[in-house]
Parts: sequence; C-alpha cells; structure tokens
Amino acid sequence: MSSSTFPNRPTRRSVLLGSLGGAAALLLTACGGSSSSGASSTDGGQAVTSAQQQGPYQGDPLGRTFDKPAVTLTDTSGKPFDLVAGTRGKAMLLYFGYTHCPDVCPTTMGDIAVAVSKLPKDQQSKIDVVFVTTDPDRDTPAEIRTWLAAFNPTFIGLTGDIKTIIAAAKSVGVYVAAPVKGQEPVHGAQTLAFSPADDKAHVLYTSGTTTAVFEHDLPLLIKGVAA
Amino acid sequence: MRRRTAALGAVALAAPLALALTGCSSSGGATGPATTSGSATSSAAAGSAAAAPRLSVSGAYIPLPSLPDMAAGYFVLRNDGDKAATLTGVTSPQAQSVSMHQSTASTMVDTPTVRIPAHGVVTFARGGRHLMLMGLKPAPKLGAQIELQLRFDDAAPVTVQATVQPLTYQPGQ
Repeated sequence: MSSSTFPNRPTRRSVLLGSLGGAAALLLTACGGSSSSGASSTDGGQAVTSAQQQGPYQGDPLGRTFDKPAVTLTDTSGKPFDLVAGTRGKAMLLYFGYTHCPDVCPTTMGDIAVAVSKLPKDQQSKIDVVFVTTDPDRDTPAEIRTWLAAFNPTFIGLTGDIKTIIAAAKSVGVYVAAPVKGQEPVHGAQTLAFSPADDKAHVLYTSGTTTAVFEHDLPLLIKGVAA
Repeated sequence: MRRRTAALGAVALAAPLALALTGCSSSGGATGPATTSGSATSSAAAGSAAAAPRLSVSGAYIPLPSLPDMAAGYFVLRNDGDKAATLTGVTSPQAQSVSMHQSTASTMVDTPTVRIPAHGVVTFARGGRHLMLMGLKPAPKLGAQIELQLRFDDAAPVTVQATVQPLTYQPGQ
C-alpha cells in the first residue's frame, strides 16, 4: 500500500475503519435481514445494532463532520453544477463511482433508489442523490444520464476533471485514484449523508448497506435529525 | 494507535466475514423462497463416488444492467461431496467473456479460481464475489435466461440458466 498522501484526518485508514463498520452491518443484515423483511421499520429500535452504532441512524456515525465539497462540476446536461449551492438546505447522499462497474456501484445506487422510491412523494423531492464519476474519461455525461435514469431519473450525475474529483472526494474522506488504463478504477465505495439542517455529513454508509438501512435512515436525514 | 489496530482488524475480518456470509446465505436459500430457475447439479463426477465433489448451483440471476455492454452474475455454489472442488472458469454462449471477480472496499480483483470446500458453500452475491459478463448478445431482457457453464478442475462442468432480474433485485427481499 502506498504511503498515505492525505494530509488531513481522512486517511485511507479511516476508509478501512469505515469498511469495518460496514462489514459488521453487512454481517448483521445478511443474517437478520430476512426475519425483519416486510415489517415496516419503526423507531422502536427492534433492529439489532452493533456496539458502535448508537443514536437514531443505522448508518455509521462519522467521528467528525464533513462539509460538502466546494466544487463546481458538470451535470449530465453539460451545465456547471455548484455542489454546495446546488444542494444547499437539502438532504444529500453523495457517492463516487463509475458506470462500467458491475457489482458495487449499481448495487449501492439500486439500494438507495429502492429506499427513495418508498418515501412519500413530498419527501422524495427533499433529498438529492448525487453520483460523481471516478472515471470521467470513459463515463460521458450521456452515459451517466442513461445509467442513473435506470435507478431514478432525478438522481444527479456529475463529471469533471479527475483531479478536481479526487480532491472533492478527499475533502470528505473518500479515496479516489486516477484511473489507469486496463485496470479497474479504484474508489472508496461509501456513501455520505449530508443533513439539511447544517449541510454537513454526519453519517456514512459503506458498500453492502442494505435498502432496509436506507429506508430506515432517509426519513430521519430529511428531517435533519441529529446523528 | 487504536485506529491502526482496528484497520488491521478490518483486513483480518474479511475472511471470516465471507465465511459467515455464505453460512447465512446457504441457510436462507434453503428456507427462503427458492428462485424458480437457476438450479443445476453436476452429473456424477468421474472416478470413485466415495470421495468426489458433488456440486450444485442455485439462485443464479443477472440484474438487468443499466448500460448494455456489461452485466453482473450471482449464484450460490454448493458442494455436498467429501472432496473440495475448484471452479476454474465460467463461460456463456451469450457473452463475449465472463470473468470472476471479488469486490473489495475500493475496487475489484480478478479471482481466476475459486475453491469450494467439501460440504461447503460459496456464494456469489452483491458486493462480494460476482461474475462480470461482457458483450451479452442479445442484450439482456427482464425474465430472459442466460446460460452459464461452470467448469471445475476436478469435477464435471455444471450448466445453469441465470434469470435476468430487475436492476435492483436482491434475493430474499
């Protein structure tokens, strides 16, 4: 593993720590998911939570908060998109990935899409789901649009210069590497949840987070419930 | 310091986690609503039946891909025999190529072979082991069957029909 290039606290290690939490969650949901499937989740706390998970969210609480990346990227219609101004005051899920990703990216976007689709209509407009490509040379805006539309046509797709995208990801503790030809792109597969109350990320979802967890947490996030 | 220890733990956890997951998946497959198609069993293995792998595949599916050039494939591979088997490759007459991958925290790696222990289960599931199918022809349609041929170095091949499911399909949900 190359030595850390991160000057700040969001290091590769914190990504690993994130995946530890997610692994535990995955394990729990894999074993307990079927028994609780179908039952609408309530706030009663009947769900099993791991020791590190306290508070109202089933996602992993972040040890620190992150501001939204202060970047302007390009949306799928080719227009500039200021990530901070464009999502201000709204709940936001932020994910970095690429469309030619067979497993993790479509699974994560799919799990989020199913959870969003189960929100009441008026709630659905209160959350922005933002996908930022980590493979901007290959992912054209049109491809990103087609790819996202299969999940939810309102999902926001962004592209731009890879260095800008790497810096944006790094600012929220997500590791993204510049793609190397002939190799699979490398990107942290976690989703960050930003609260509409303060526009900061308080909760993280590692890859493997189930739809049930998003279904539980999204209404809380939209309300701006503190983590 | 504690962070470092925990990070190492995450790496060390990966293997037992995979075991735990397959354990859960196998019991879920046995008790849950079984997928209607996508099951196949290997014909009798060559050699003595006393110590031979007995392989079966269930729950094979392919999520309808949102871009047509590539798809993922998932299934549960079970070995009820007294001898381990090694999956050496998967092909499909409908795909240009099929490769076996394992997703990690930040990328995916090729897994040229996959060992299935005696009386063991290996699960190809979302976020973990998966097939990557390139160049499917015709383009996958919901409900279509896609043939997968699994080859082993020490057992007869197994052919299974994978069902094309909705993009967001997850078994048991």
